[in-house]
Amino acid sequence: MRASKVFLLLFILLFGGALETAWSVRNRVAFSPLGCRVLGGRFWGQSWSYDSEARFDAPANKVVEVQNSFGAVRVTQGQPAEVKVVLRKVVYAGSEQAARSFASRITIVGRSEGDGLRLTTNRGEFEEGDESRKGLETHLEIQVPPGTVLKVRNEHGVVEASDLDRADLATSFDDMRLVRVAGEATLEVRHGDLAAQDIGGSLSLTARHGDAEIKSVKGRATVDIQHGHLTANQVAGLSVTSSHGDIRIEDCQGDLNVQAQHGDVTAKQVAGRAQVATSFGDLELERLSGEVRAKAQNGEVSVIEAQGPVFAEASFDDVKLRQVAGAAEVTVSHGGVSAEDVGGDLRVKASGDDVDLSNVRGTLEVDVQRGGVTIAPGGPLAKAVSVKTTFGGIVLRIPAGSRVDLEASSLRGEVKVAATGFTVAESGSGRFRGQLGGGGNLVKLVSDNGDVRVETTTQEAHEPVKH
Amino acid sequence: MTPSLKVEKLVLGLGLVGLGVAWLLANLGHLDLLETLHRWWPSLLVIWGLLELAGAARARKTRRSW
Repeated sequence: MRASKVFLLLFILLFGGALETAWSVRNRVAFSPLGCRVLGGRFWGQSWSYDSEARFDAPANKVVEVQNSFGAVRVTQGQPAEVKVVLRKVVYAGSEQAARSFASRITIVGRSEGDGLRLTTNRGEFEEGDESRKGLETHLEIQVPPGTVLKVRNEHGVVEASDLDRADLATSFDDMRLVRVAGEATLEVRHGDLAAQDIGGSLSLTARHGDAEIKSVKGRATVDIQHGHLTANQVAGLSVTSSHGDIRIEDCQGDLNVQAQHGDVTAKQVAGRAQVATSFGDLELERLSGEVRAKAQNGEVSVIEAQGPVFAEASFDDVKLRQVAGAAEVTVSHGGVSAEDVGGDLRVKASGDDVDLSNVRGTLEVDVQRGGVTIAPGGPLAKAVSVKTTFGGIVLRIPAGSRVDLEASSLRGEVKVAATGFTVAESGSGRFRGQLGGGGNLVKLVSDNGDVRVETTTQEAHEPVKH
Repeated sequence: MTPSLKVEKLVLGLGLVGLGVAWLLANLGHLDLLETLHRWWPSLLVIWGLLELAGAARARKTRRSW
Protein backbone atom coordinates (compact mmCIF):
# COMPACT_ATOMS: atom_id res chain seq x y z
CA MET A 1 0.00 0.00 0.00
CA ARG A 2 1.30 3.44 -0.88
CA ALA A 3 2.33 5.82 1.87
CA SER A 4 -0.18 8.41 0.63
CA LYS A 5 -3.02 5.90 1.12
CA VAL A 6 -1.83 5.11 4.61
CA PHE A 7 -1.71 8.82 5.48
CA LEU A 8 -5.14 9.49 4.02
CA LEU A 9 -6.63 6.51 5.87
CA LEU A 10 -5.08 7.64 9.14
CA PHE A 11 -6.29 11.18 8.54
CA ILE A 12 -9.87 10.07 7.93
CA LEU A 13 -9.85 7.74 10.93
CA LEU A 14 -8.45 10.46 13.20
CA PHE A 15 -11.03 12.92 11.88
CA GLY A 16 -13.80 10.41 12.56
CA GLY A 17 -12.38 9.61 15.97
CA ALA A 18 -12.38 13.30 16.90
CA LEU A 19 -15.98 13.62 15.78
CA GLU A 20 -17.02 10.57 17.78
CA THR A 21 -15.27 11.93 20.86
CA ALA A 22 -16.91 15.33 20.49
CA TRP A 23 -20.29 13.70 20.03
CA SER A 24 -19.79 11.52 23.07
CA VAL A 25 -18.73 14.49 25.18
CA ARG A 26 -21.74 16.47 24.01
CA ASN A 27 -24.20 13.74 24.84
CA ARG A 28 -22.83 11.72 27.70
CA VAL A 29 -20.88 14.34 29.61
CA ALA A 30 -23.77 16.67 28.86
CA PHE A 31 -21.64 19.50 27.57
CA SER A 32 -24.61 20.54 25.55
CA PRO A 33 -26.35 23.86 26.07
CA LEU A 34 -28.53 22.38 28.78
CA GLY A 35 -25.51 20.63 30.14
CA CYS A 36 -24.04 24.03 30.94
CA ARG A 37 -26.22 24.22 34.01
CA VAL A 38 -23.85 21.79 35.63
CA LEU A 39 -21.09 24.33 35.19
CA GLY A 40 -23.28 27.13 36.47
CA GLY A 41 -22.87 29.00 33.24
CA ARG A 42 -25.10 30.28 30.55
CA PHE A 43 -26.07 28.90 27.20
CA TRP A 44 -23.87 29.75 24.29
CA GLY A 45 -23.95 29.55 20.55
CA GLN A 46 -26.52 30.68 18.01
CA SER A 47 -30.02 31.29 19.25
CA TRP A 48 -33.47 32.44 18.14
CA SER A 49 -36.14 34.24 20.17
CA TYR A 50 -39.91 33.76 20.06
CA ASP A 51 -42.59 35.48 22.12
CA SER A 52 -45.96 34.29 23.34
CA GLU A 53 -48.51 35.90 25.62
CA ALA A 54 -51.23 34.78 28.01
CA ARG A 55 -53.72 36.47 30.32
CA PHE A 56 -55.32 35.09 33.45
CA ASP A 57 -57.98 36.32 35.84
CA ALA A 58 -56.60 37.93 38.94
CA PRO A 59 -56.51 35.37 41.78
CA ALA A 60 -59.00 35.82 44.59
CA ASN A 61 -56.42 35.97 47.36
CA LYS A 62 -53.96 37.91 45.22
CA VAL A 63 -51.28 35.25 45.60
CA VAL A 64 -49.24 34.73 42.44
CA GLU A 65 -46.59 32.02 42.44
CA VAL A 66 -44.01 31.82 39.66
CA GLN A 67 -41.63 28.98 38.97
CA ASN A 68 -38.97 29.18 36.31
CA SER A 69 -35.42 28.28 35.46
CA PHE A 70 -32.88 29.49 32.91
CA GLY A 71 -34.50 32.80 32.33
CA ALA A 72 -35.47 36.05 33.94
CA VAL A 73 -38.63 36.69 35.91
CA ARG A 74 -39.72 40.34 35.86
CA VAL A 75 -42.85 41.32 37.72
CA THR A 76 -44.45 44.77 37.60
CA GLN A 77 -47.79 46.23 38.56
CA GLY A 78 -50.50 46.00 35.91
CA GLN A 79 -54.29 46.08 35.66
CA PRO A 80 -56.44 45.23 38.71
CA ALA A 81 -58.43 42.37 37.23
CA GLU A 82 -55.87 40.33 35.32
CA VAL A 83 -52.44 38.81 35.28
CA LYS A 84 -50.62 39.28 31.99
CA VAL A 85 -47.68 37.06 31.09
CA VAL A 86 -45.29 37.50 28.19
CA LEU A 87 -42.98 34.56 27.63
CA ARG A 88 -39.84 35.10 25.57
CA LYS A 89 -38.37 31.80 24.51
CA VAL A 90 -34.72 31.84 23.48
CA VAL A 91 -33.74 28.58 21.82
CA TYR A 92 -30.12 27.56 21.27
CA ALA A 93 -30.16 25.03 18.46
CA GLY A 94 -28.25 24.00 15.38
CA SER A 95 -30.74 25.52 12.94
CA GLU A 96 -33.52 28.07 12.87
CA GLN A 97 -36.00 25.41 11.79
CA ALA A 98 -35.16 23.22 14.76
CA ALA A 99 -35.34 26.23 17.08
CA ARG A 100 -38.75 27.31 15.78
CA SER A 101 -40.13 23.79 15.98
CA PHE A 102 -38.88 23.44 19.54
CA ALA A 103 -40.09 26.87 20.64
CA SER A 104 -43.59 26.20 19.32
CA ARG A 105 -43.97 23.47 21.92
CA ILE A 106 -42.94 25.66 24.87
CA THR A 107 -45.97 27.28 26.44
CA ILE A 108 -47.02 29.31 29.45
CA VAL A 109 -48.73 27.20 32.09
CA GLY A 110 -51.06 28.95 34.49
CA ARG A 111 -53.33 27.15 36.89
CA SER A 112 -55.27 28.00 40.00
CA GLU A 113 -54.04 26.45 43.22
CA GLY A 114 -56.38 27.17 46.05
CA ASP A 115 -57.32 30.77 45.58
CA GLY A 116 -53.95 31.65 44.09
CA LEU A 117 -52.44 31.50 40.62
CA ARG A 118 -49.37 29.43 39.78
CA LEU A 119 -47.42 30.39 36.68
CA THR A 120 -44.70 28.37 35.02
CA THR A 121 -43.78 26.90 31.64
CA ASN A 122 -43.77 23.36 30.34
CA ARG A 123 -40.00 23.41 29.82
CA GLY A 124 -39.63 20.55 32.27
CA GLU A 125 -41.21 18.19 29.72
CA PHE A 126 -38.26 18.69 27.37
CA GLU A 127 -35.36 18.21 29.69
CA GLU A 128 -35.03 14.53 28.87
CA GLY A 129 -34.18 12.81 25.58
CA ASP A 130 -33.04 14.47 22.36
CA GLU A 131 -34.66 17.80 23.15
CA SER A 132 -32.41 18.19 26.16
CA ARG A 133 -29.58 18.97 23.75
CA LYS A 134 -31.22 22.25 22.87
CA GLY A 135 -30.60 25.19 25.12
CA LEU A 136 -33.72 26.98 26.21
CA GLU A 137 -34.15 30.22 28.10
CA THR A 138 -37.63 31.13 29.27
CA HIS A 139 -37.95 34.78 30.24
CA LEU A 140 -41.21 35.74 31.93
CA GLU A 141 -42.48 39.31 32.06
CA ILE A 142 -45.51 39.40 34.30
CA GLN A 143 -47.92 42.18 35.15
CA VAL A 144 -49.84 41.57 38.37
CA PRO A 145 -52.74 43.43 39.99
CA PRO A 146 -52.03 45.98 42.75
CA GLY A 147 -51.64 44.41 46.17
CA THR A 148 -50.27 41.12 44.90
CA VAL A 149 -48.50 38.67 47.16
CA LEU A 150 -45.72 37.28 45.00
CA LYS A 151 -43.73 34.09 45.36
CA VAL A 152 -40.96 33.36 42.86
CA ARG A 153 -38.69 30.34 42.63
CA ASN A 154 -36.15 30.75 39.88
CA GLU A 155 -32.79 29.29 38.93
CA HIS A 156 -30.19 30.67 36.58
CA GLY A 157 -32.08 33.86 35.94
CA VAL A 158 -32.62 37.39 37.15
CA VAL A 159 -35.59 38.12 39.38
CA GLU A 160 -36.90 41.68 39.35
CA ALA A 161 -40.08 42.72 41.10
CA SER A 162 -41.73 45.95 42.15
CA ASP A 163 -44.91 47.36 43.71
CA LEU A 164 -46.13 44.36 45.67
CA ASP A 165 -47.94 43.71 48.90
CA ARG A 166 -45.57 40.98 50.04
CA ALA A 167 -42.74 39.10 48.36
CA ASP A 168 -41.05 35.75 48.76
CA LEU A 169 -38.35 35.48 46.11
CA ALA A 170 -35.52 33.04 45.43
CA THR A 171 -33.07 32.70 42.58
CA SER A 172 -29.60 31.40 41.88
CA PHE A 173 -26.74 32.13 39.53
CA ASP A 174 -28.09 35.57 38.76
CA ASP A 175 -29.16 38.79 40.44
CA MET A 176 -32.29 39.88 42.26
CA ARG A 177 -33.84 43.34 42.53
CA LEU A 178 -36.89 44.21 44.60
CA VAL A 179 -38.45 47.65 44.95
CA ARG A 180 -41.49 48.97 46.80
CA VAL A 181 -43.10 46.25 48.89
CA ALA A 182 -45.82 47.27 51.33
CA GLY A 183 -45.34 44.35 53.72
CA GLU A 184 -42.73 41.79 54.53
CA ALA A 185 -40.22 40.34 52.11
CA THR A 186 -38.24 37.11 52.15
CA LEU A 187 -35.36 36.93 49.71
CA GLU A 188 -32.80 34.27 48.87
CA VAL A 189 -30.02 34.55 46.32
CA ARG A 190 -27.19 32.18 45.60
CA HIS A 191 -24.34 33.09 43.30
CA GLY A 192 -25.77 36.47 42.47
CA ASP A 193 -26.12 40.00 43.80
CA LEU A 194 -29.20 41.34 45.53
CA ALA A 195 -30.71 44.82 45.88
CA ALA A 196 -33.86 45.57 47.87
CA GLN A 197 -35.32 49.01 48.47
CA ASP A 198 -38.41 50.53 50.07
CA ILE A 199 -39.63 47.55 52.05
CA GLY A 200 -42.60 48.44 54.25
CA GLY A 201 -42.40 45.44 56.57
CA SER A 202 -39.73 43.15 57.86
CA LEU A 203 -37.06 41.77 55.59
CA SER A 204 -35.46 38.34 55.72
CA LEU A 205 -32.52 37.93 53.41
CA THR A 206 -30.24 34.99 52.67
CA ALA A 207 -27.34 35.48 50.30
CA ARG A 208 -24.49 33.22 49.28
CA HIS A 209 -21.62 34.10 46.99
CA GLY A 210 -22.88 37.54 46.09
CA ASP A 211 -23.24 41.06 47.43
CA ALA A 212 -26.42 42.40 49.00
CA GLU A 213 -27.65 45.97 49.24
CA ILE A 214 -30.73 46.96 51.21
CA LYS A 215 -32.14 50.43 51.61
CA SER A 216 -35.14 51.93 53.37
CA VAL A 217 -36.58 49.00 55.30
CA LYS A 218 -39.38 50.02 57.65
CA GLY A 219 -39.41 46.74 59.58
CA ARG A 220 -36.60 44.80 61.11
CA ALA A 221 -34.15 43.25 58.67
CA THR A 222 -32.55 39.87 59.24
CA VAL A 223 -29.62 39.07 56.97
CA ASP A 224 -27.67 35.86 56.58
CA ILE A 225 -24.86 36.42 54.11
CA GLN A 226 -21.76 34.42 53.24
CA HIS A 227 -19.04 35.15 50.73
CA GLY A 228 -20.37 38.58 49.87
CA HIS A 229 -20.50 42.15 51.07
CA LEU A 230 -23.54 43.73 52.69
CA THR A 231 -24.55 47.38 52.44
CA ALA A 232 -27.54 48.52 54.51
CA ASN A 233 -29.01 52.01 54.65
CA GLN A 234 -32.03 53.31 56.55
CA VAL A 235 -33.19 50.17 58.30
CA ALA A 236 -35.50 50.08 61.30
CA GLY A 237 -33.39 47.41 62.96
CA LEU A 238 -30.86 44.94 61.71
CA SER A 239 -29.56 41.49 62.60
CA VAL A 240 -26.72 40.17 60.49
CA THR A 241 -24.92 36.87 60.38
CA SER A 242 -22.03 37.08 57.99
CA SER A 243 -18.84 35.39 56.94
CA HIS A 244 -16.21 36.17 54.35
CA GLY A 245 -17.45 39.61 53.45
CA ASP A 246 -17.50 43.20 54.64
CA ILE A 247 -20.54 44.90 56.14
CA ARG A 248 -21.40 48.59 55.82
CA ILE A 249 -24.38 49.94 57.70
CA GLU A 250 -25.63 53.52 57.80
CA ASP A 251 -28.65 54.89 59.62
CA CYS A 252 -29.97 51.97 61.65
CA GLN A 253 -33.01 53.32 63.46
CA GLY A 254 -33.26 50.43 65.92
CA ASP A 255 -31.08 47.80 67.49
CA LEU A 256 -28.14 46.46 65.57
CA ASN A 257 -26.85 42.95 66.01
CA VAL A 258 -23.97 41.72 63.87
CA GLN A 259 -22.14 38.42 64.12
CA ALA A 260 -19.48 38.40 61.44
CA GLN A 261 -16.46 36.33 60.56
CA HIS A 262 -13.60 37.15 58.24
CA GLY A 263 -14.79 40.62 57.37
CA ASP A 264 -14.77 44.27 58.36
CA VAL A 265 -17.86 45.86 59.87
CA THR A 266 -18.62 49.56 59.56
CA ALA A 267 -21.73 50.98 61.20
CA LYS A 268 -22.64 54.66 61.29
CA GLN A 269 -25.59 56.29 62.99
CA VAL A 270 -27.21 53.58 65.05
CA ALA A 271 -30.18 54.71 67.14
CA GLY A 272 -30.60 51.58 69.26
CA ARG A 273 -28.36 49.13 70.98
CA ALA A 274 -25.38 47.99 68.94
CA GLN A 275 -23.96 44.54 69.51
CA VAL A 276 -21.30 43.86 66.92
CA ALA A 277 -18.72 41.10 66.72
CA THR A 278 -16.32 40.02 64.03
CA SER A 279 -13.17 38.01 63.60
CA PHE A 280 -10.24 38.59 61.29
CA GLY A 281 -11.62 42.01 60.47
CA ASP A 282 -11.98 45.48 61.92
CA LEU A 283 -14.96 47.15 63.57
CA GLU A 284 -15.63 50.82 62.91
CA LEU A 285 -18.65 52.21 64.76
CA GLU A 286 -19.73 55.86 64.61
CA ARG A 287 -22.57 57.98 65.97
CA LEU A 288 -24.16 55.49 68.31
CA SER A 289 -27.07 56.41 70.56
CA GLY A 290 -27.47 53.28 72.65
CA GLU A 291 -25.29 50.78 74.42
CA VAL A 292 -22.39 49.49 72.38
CA ARG A 293 -20.88 46.05 72.66
CA ALA A 294 -18.08 45.58 70.16
CA LYS A 295 -15.80 42.60 69.86
CA ALA A 296 -13.13 41.90 67.27
CA GLN A 297 -10.94 38.85 67.28
CA ASN A 298 -7.78 39.54 65.32
CA GLY A 299 -9.04 42.97 64.44
CA GLU A 300 -9.27 46.59 65.54
CA VAL A 301 -12.24 48.18 67.28
CA SER A 302 -12.94 51.84 66.71
CA VAL A 303 -15.86 53.59 68.45
CA ILE A 304 -16.54 57.25 67.70
CA GLU A 305 -19.34 59.42 69.10
CA ALA A 306 -21.16 57.02 71.40
CA GLN A 307 -23.87 58.30 73.72
CA GLY A 308 -24.36 55.17 75.78
CA PRO A 309 -21.99 52.85 77.58
CA VAL A 310 -19.35 51.11 75.51
CA PHE A 311 -17.96 47.63 75.99
CA ALA A 312 -15.10 46.99 73.58
CA GLU A 313 -12.99 43.89 73.23
CA ALA A 314 -10.21 43.16 70.76
CA SER A 315 -7.36 40.77 70.25
CA PHE A 316 -4.16 41.14 68.29
CA ASP A 317 -5.07 44.73 67.44
CA ASP A 318 -6.04 48.00 69.08
CA VAL A 319 -9.16 49.58 70.52
CA LYS A 320 -9.81 53.25 69.80
CA LEU A 321 -12.46 55.29 71.57
CA ARG A 322 -13.34 58.88 70.64
CA GLN A 323 -16.08 61.05 72.14
CA VAL A 324 -17.77 58.49 74.35
CA ALA A 325 -20.36 60.17 76.57
CA GLY A 326 -20.96 57.27 78.93
CA ALA A 327 -18.86 54.71 80.68
CA ALA A 328 -16.53 52.41 78.79
CA GLU A 329 -14.96 49.07 79.47
CA VAL A 330 -12.12 47.94 77.24
CA THR A 331 -10.41 44.58 77.14
CA VAL A 332 -7.55 43.98 74.73
CA SER A 333 -5.15 41.12 74.41
CA HIS A 334 -2.03 41.66 72.34
CA GLY A 335 -3.00 45.21 71.45
CA GLY A 336 -3.11 48.77 72.66
CA VAL A 337 -5.81 51.21 73.66
CA SER A 338 -6.33 54.81 72.66
CA ALA A 339 -9.17 56.75 74.23
CA GLU A 340 -10.08 60.43 73.92
CA ASP A 341 -12.97 62.35 75.41
CA VAL A 342 -14.63 59.72 77.57
CA GLY A 343 -17.34 61.24 79.77
CA GLY A 344 -18.02 58.28 82.07
CA ASP A 345 -15.94 55.82 83.98
CA LEU A 346 -13.29 54.00 81.99
CA ARG A 347 -11.95 50.58 82.79
CA VAL A 348 -9.12 49.24 80.68
CA LYS A 349 -7.47 45.86 80.72
CA ALA A 350 -4.80 45.42 78.09
CA SER A 351 -1.71 43.43 77.25
CA GLY A 352 1.01 43.64 74.70
CA ASP A 353 0.92 47.32 73.76
CA ASP A 354 0.57 50.86 75.11
CA VAL A 355 -2.48 52.58 76.50
CA ASP A 356 -2.96 56.29 75.78
CA LEU A 357 -5.84 58.02 77.52
CA SER A 358 -6.74 61.68 77.24
CA ASN A 359 -9.61 63.72 78.55
CA VAL A 360 -11.27 60.94 80.55
CA ARG A 361 -13.66 62.59 83.00
CA GLY A 362 -14.86 59.59 85.00
CA THR A 363 -13.16 57.13 87.30
CA LEU A 364 -10.20 55.51 85.64
CA GLU A 365 -9.09 51.95 86.24
CA VAL A 366 -6.26 50.61 84.10
CA ASP A 367 -4.46 47.29 84.20
CA VAL A 368 -1.80 46.75 81.56
CA GLN A 369 0.71 43.97 81.00
CA ARG A 370 3.71 44.47 78.74
CA GLY A 371 2.78 48.02 77.86
CA GLY A 372 3.03 51.56 79.10
CA VAL A 373 0.27 53.93 80.11
CA THR A 374 -0.02 57.64 79.40
CA ILE A 375 -2.85 59.59 81.00
CA ALA A 376 -3.58 63.20 80.15
CA PRO A 377 -6.87 64.35 81.65
CA GLY A 378 -8.42 67.29 79.84
CA GLY A 379 -9.34 69.14 83.03
CA PRO A 380 -8.74 68.97 86.79
CA LEU A 381 -8.95 65.40 88.04
CA ALA A 382 -12.43 64.91 89.44
CA LYS A 383 -12.50 61.14 89.92
CA ALA A 384 -10.24 58.43 91.25
CA VAL A 385 -7.46 56.99 89.09
CA SER A 386 -5.97 53.55 89.49
CA VAL A 387 -3.25 52.34 87.15
CA LYS A 388 -1.29 49.14 87.35
CA THR A 389 1.33 48.02 84.86
CA THR A 390 3.57 45.02 84.51
CA PHE A 391 6.60 45.60 82.30
CA GLY A 392 5.60 49.13 81.34
CA GLY A 393 5.94 52.68 82.55
CA ILE A 394 3.27 55.14 83.68
CA VAL A 395 3.04 58.81 82.77
CA LEU A 396 0.37 60.96 84.41
CA ARG A 397 -0.06 64.61 83.48
CA ILE A 398 -2.12 66.29 86.15
CA PRO A 399 -3.90 69.44 85.01
CA ALA A 400 -3.68 72.51 87.15
CA GLY A 401 -6.42 72.82 89.74
CA SER A 402 -6.59 69.12 90.51
CA ARG A 403 -7.05 67.98 94.10
CA VAL A 404 -5.55 64.52 94.56
CA ASP A 405 -4.06 62.10 97.00
CA LEU A 406 -1.23 60.51 95.08
CA GLU A 407 0.23 57.10 95.77
CA ALA A 408 2.88 56.04 93.26
CA SER A 409 5.19 53.08 93.45
CA SER A 410 7.49 51.06 91.24
CA LEU A 411 8.98 47.76 92.28
CA ARG A 412 11.92 47.76 89.85
CA GLY A 413 11.83 51.32 88.47
CA GLU A 414 11.86 54.92 89.55
CA VAL A 415 9.09 57.24 90.63
CA LYS A 416 9.55 60.84 89.48
CA VAL A 417 7.10 63.54 90.49
CA ALA A 418 7.99 66.61 88.45
CA ALA A 419 5.09 68.64 89.67
CA THR A 420 4.83 71.66 91.84
CA GLY A 421 2.42 72.13 94.74
CA PHE A 422 2.63 68.65 96.20
CA THR A 423 2.68 68.14 99.95
CA VAL A 424 5.01 65.17 100.24
CA ALA A 425 4.25 62.55 102.85
CA GLU A 426 6.70 59.93 101.63
CA SER A 427 9.30 60.04 98.85
CA GLY A 428 11.91 57.54 97.70
CA SER A 429 13.38 56.14 94.48
CA GLY A 430 10.55 53.67 94.07
CA ARG A 431 7.77 55.27 96.04
CA PHE A 432 5.94 58.57 96.42
CA ARG A 433 2.99 59.59 98.54
CA GLY A 434 1.61 63.11 98.81
CA GLN A 435 -1.25 65.50 98.31
CA LEU A 436 -1.98 68.12 95.68
CA GLY A 437 -4.37 70.99 96.26
CA GLY A 438 -5.05 69.83 99.77
CA GLY A 439 -5.96 66.30 98.69
CA GLY A 440 -9.05 64.79 97.17
CA ASN A 441 -9.43 61.94 94.72
CA LEU A 442 -7.14 58.98 95.19
CA VAL A 443 -4.64 58.53 92.35
CA LYS A 444 -2.83 55.22 92.63
CA LEU A 445 -0.06 54.39 90.18
CA VAL A 446 1.69 51.03 90.50
CA SER A 447 4.31 49.60 88.17
CA ASP A 448 6.19 46.33 88.52
CA ASN A 449 8.92 46.90 85.94
CA GLY A 450 8.79 50.48 84.72
CA ASP A 451 9.17 54.08 85.73
CA VAL A 452 6.33 56.18 87.07
CA ARG A 453 6.35 59.85 86.13
CA VAL A 454 3.91 62.48 87.36
CA GLU A 455 3.90 66.02 86.02
CA THR A 456 1.52 68.93 86.13
CA THR A 457 0.40 70.81 83.07
CA THR A 458 -1.74 73.79 82.26
CA GLN A 459 -2.54 72.58 78.76
CA GLU A 460 -5.60 70.55 78.01
CA ALA A 461 -4.24 68.65 75.06
CA HIS A 462 -1.08 66.59 75.08
CA GLU A 463 0.99 64.44 72.85
CA PRO A 464 1.18 60.86 74.09
CA VAL A 465 4.50 59.89 75.63
CA LYS A 466 6.38 57.03 74.02
CA HIS A 467 7.49 54.29 76.32
CA MET B 1 0.38 10.82 -11.96
CA THR B 2 -0.86 7.31 -11.08
CA PRO B 3 -4.54 6.34 -11.04
CA SER B 4 -4.36 5.39 -7.31
CA LEU B 5 -3.08 8.87 -6.42
CA LYS B 6 -6.00 10.36 -8.29
CA VAL B 7 -8.39 8.33 -6.17
CA GLU B 8 -6.86 9.69 -2.97
CA LYS B 9 -7.03 13.22 -4.25
CA LEU B 10 -10.60 12.66 -5.25
CA VAL B 11 -11.49 11.39 -1.76
CA LEU B 12 -9.69 14.31 -0.13
CA GLY B 13 -11.40 16.76 -2.45
CA LEU B 14 -14.84 15.31 -1.85
CA GLY B 15 -14.20 15.37 1.88
CA LEU B 16 -13.17 19.02 1.83
CA VAL B 17 -16.18 19.98 -0.32
CA GLY B 18 -18.50 18.09 2.05
CA LEU B 19 -16.95 19.69 5.13
CA GLY B 20 -17.12 23.18 3.64
CA VAL B 21 -20.75 22.80 2.54
CA ALA B 22 -21.79 21.43 5.94
CA TRP B 23 -19.96 24.20 7.76
CA LEU B 24 -21.55 26.85 5.53
CA LEU B 25 -25.05 25.47 6.06
CA ALA B 26 -24.43 25.37 9.81
CA ASN B 27 -23.36 28.98 9.80
CA LEU B 28 -26.52 29.85 7.89
CA GLY B 29 -28.53 28.11 10.58
CA HIS B 30 -29.81 25.22 8.47
CA LEU B 31 -28.17 22.31 10.22
CA ASP B 32 -26.22 21.22 13.27
CA LEU B 33 -22.57 20.88 12.17
CA LEU B 34 -21.43 18.36 14.76
CA GLU B 35 -24.52 16.21 14.35
CA THR B 36 -24.17 16.22 10.53
CA LEU B 37 -20.45 15.44 10.50
CA HIS B 38 -20.87 12.76 13.12
CA ARG B 39 -23.62 11.14 11.07
CA TRP B 40 -21.94 11.28 7.65
CA TRP B 41 -18.18 10.97 8.14
CA PRO B 42 -18.07 7.15 7.50
CA SER B 43 -19.35 7.84 3.99
CA LEU B 44 -15.83 9.07 3.16
CA LEU B 45 -14.52 5.53 3.72
CA VAL B 46 -17.38 4.10 1.65
CA ILE B 47 -16.73 6.49 -1.23
CA TRP B 48 -12.99 5.83 -1.11
CA GLY B 49 -13.55 2.07 -1.07
CA LEU B 50 -15.91 2.24 -4.02
CA LEU B 51 -13.44 4.35 -5.97
CA GLU B 52 -10.65 1.88 -5.19
CA LEU B 53 -12.81 -1.03 -6.34
CA ALA B 54 -13.73 0.79 -9.53
CA GLY B 55 -10.05 1.58 -10.15
CA ALA B 56 -9.00 -2.02 -9.57
CA ALA B 57 -11.73 -3.31 -11.91
CA ARG B 58 -10.70 -0.84 -14.57
CA ALA B 59 -7.03 -1.90 -14.25
CA ARG B 60 -7.93 -5.60 -14.51
CA LYS B 61 -10.01 -4.97 -17.60
CA THR B 62 -7.16 -3.06 -19.18
CA ARG B 63 -4.65 -5.91 -18.49
CA ARG B 64 -7.03 -8.52 -20.04
CA SER B 65 -7.50 -6.42 -23.14
CA TRP B 66 -3.64 -6.57 -23.60
